[in-house]
Amino acid sequence: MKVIDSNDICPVVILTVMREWKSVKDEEEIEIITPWEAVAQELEKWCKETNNEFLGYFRDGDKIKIRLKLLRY
Amino acid sequence: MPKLTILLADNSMDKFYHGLVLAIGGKALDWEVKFFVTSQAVVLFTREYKGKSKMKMGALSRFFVTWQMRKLKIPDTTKMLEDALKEGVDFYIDEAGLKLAGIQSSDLMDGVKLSGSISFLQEAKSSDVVVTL
Repeated sequence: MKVIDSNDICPVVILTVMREWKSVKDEEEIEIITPWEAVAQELEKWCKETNNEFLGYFRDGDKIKIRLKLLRY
Repeated sequence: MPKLTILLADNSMDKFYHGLVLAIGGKALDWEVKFFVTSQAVVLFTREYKGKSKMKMGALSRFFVTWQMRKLKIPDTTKMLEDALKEGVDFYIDEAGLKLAGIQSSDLMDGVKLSGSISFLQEAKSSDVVVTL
């Protein structure tokens, strides 16, 4: 599973995910590791808007780990 | 495809930064994004400035916020503008604002276009979201 470990602010992280999504052929599960709490809720909304799948998130120390399934059919 | 149109008329970093955040957010949602720039903000799009902007606050406060931004790894507006251009945000610079600032169109950065009020109004009319800053 691809991991995006980034300290970047919200729009930059989402842009990174967007670039990854554009390169996906069928589907791909990815994990995003970020210190920014709002990224999880923003990615959940991003998934709804772009028809991707938000698999959930959990706190790991001072970081948030978010799982997504990127879909490109 | 949904469309976001932004109008920026101020050259302060505060407003420019938020305009860029929205523009990049729009592209992340796969939206069409039009970014119109007028009045004092046109100077930010010259080859000399390349998106470099300042916060409208005292020198000491500015220094502190700039230091905090570096600490938190918040990108500056030059980097955000590069990203926005790379992602296909369309930037339109108001020709009248340019002339008022004494800037030639040849002084503008690559990848930005000249426009006027009719272009903005037409894009705004057909947009789903319009933001003025």
